[in-house]
Amino acid sequence: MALIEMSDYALPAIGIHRPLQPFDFSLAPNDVCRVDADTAEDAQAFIRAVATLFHPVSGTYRYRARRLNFGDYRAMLPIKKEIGYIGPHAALICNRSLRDNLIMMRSYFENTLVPTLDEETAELCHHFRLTGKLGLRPVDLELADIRAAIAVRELCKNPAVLLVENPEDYIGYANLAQLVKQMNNVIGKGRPVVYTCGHEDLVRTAATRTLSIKNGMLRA
Amino acid sequence: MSTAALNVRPRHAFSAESGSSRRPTGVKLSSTGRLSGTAGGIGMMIIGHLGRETMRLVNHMALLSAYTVDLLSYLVRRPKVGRSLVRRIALEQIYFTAVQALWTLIPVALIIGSAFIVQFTKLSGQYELGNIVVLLIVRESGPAITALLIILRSATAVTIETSYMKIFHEIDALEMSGMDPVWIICVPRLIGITSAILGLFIIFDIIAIIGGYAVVWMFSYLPIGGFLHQIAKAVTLTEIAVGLIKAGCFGIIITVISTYYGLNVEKKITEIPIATSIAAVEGFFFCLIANILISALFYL
Repeated sequence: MALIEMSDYALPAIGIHRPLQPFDFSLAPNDVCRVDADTAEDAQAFIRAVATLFHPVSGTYRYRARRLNFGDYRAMLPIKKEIGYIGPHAALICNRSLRDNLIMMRSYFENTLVPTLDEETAELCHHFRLTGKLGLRPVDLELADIRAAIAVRELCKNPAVLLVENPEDYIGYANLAQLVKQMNNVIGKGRPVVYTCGHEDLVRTAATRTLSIKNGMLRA
Repeated sequence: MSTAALNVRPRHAFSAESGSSRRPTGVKLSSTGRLSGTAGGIGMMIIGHLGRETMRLVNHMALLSAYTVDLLSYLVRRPKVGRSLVRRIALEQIYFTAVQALWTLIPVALIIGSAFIVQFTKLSGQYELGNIVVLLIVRESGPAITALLIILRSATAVTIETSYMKIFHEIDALEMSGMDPVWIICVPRLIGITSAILGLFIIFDIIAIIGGYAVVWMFSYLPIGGFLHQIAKAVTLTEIAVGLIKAGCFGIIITVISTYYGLNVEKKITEIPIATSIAAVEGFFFCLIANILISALFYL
């Protein structure tokens, strides 16, 4: 059974760029998809559509065979929580410290204000060189650190599906090897990953499928 | 209310996006002989404009009402998740709105209190001075001025903060983490601002009356003997109840309007000052309307 099924899915136009043609897409639990598009906008639009960040103009999105209702944002929350998205559209809460951002989900779902990171988050912070910066707010951090923190937050969600937009541009070369390692860990757990990547030597070897987008048309 | 639903913004038919080609020419009814030529065209345009504005207003009020009901329903439903986070953010909001505003509110209350007392002492001597002060400070101007201060200090900040969060994808980030943005952004602000207004109402009245009395006593020779005794007699249980009701209504109005406009911005940062300005003016206007309605309900 497919984890995600999108059928006859049409996206709205963004700015002056023409939208993707209506497309069908399905993602099975062990799929590792690389998106190869002739324009960066198309690849981004596709990844963000899978991440449920766009409200579709038409078409259906099924997650674990359950049809999503984009008009009811509360019903979407448990599904969104299972999708890890690492890309420029992701953000930290800017008036909270890095530590608060990383423990916010736990605070919310466990009703606790204990300010300590769990073991996995602390370890990832160490790998992404964030340990000494946990007390700072995003405005006091470098862009690379903000993006590394977003990656840590999304990986700590233990996502059922991971979506990554151009990791080599997004996270910078200092943390790229670590991010690729973490992506491979997710793949190793049998979870699907969809990513765009312009760097030939990177995670391409892990890809089980390549999705091609030419002139706004998706071909599986 | 869905944050998606908040994006449903009625478009003015004469806005720049709609283009001039959609303007009614007004000559379509010329065959009836009643409206023809330029005068008929202008008449039709005015009627059309009034109709669209009315529809826009009705739509706006319906959206605001739906959002208010949705926001208040959280206080009844009280979702099990996120309660500690909501409590913490509500306490922070009380600190920002009440405690930090004291240094603005106290001098304003003193100035207004002493000005009122000086003017009314001159006007009426000592006759009914306490009643007049209670009537104007406690019942009417106190709530309105406190609401205005809260709008200037906190509601504008809330609109800017929420619209910033919307534009820079922080709302999306909360949703992608499975957290309900209305529950952890808007509800704590509703609790915080309403509690803060309640506290500031009481402080404003006390400072305006007692502080104003002290200022007049120290710096003038006006006859205000027995003033505090008159005040004590004039303040009844109804005044206190009305104050509480006004505080609750103003808190709801200010929070609903400031967060509604904050969440309603789309993708451009230039929308933030416009949303903030409209939210502040509309919030104050609705507070004044509520003030009048509550006063009329209790005192007429």
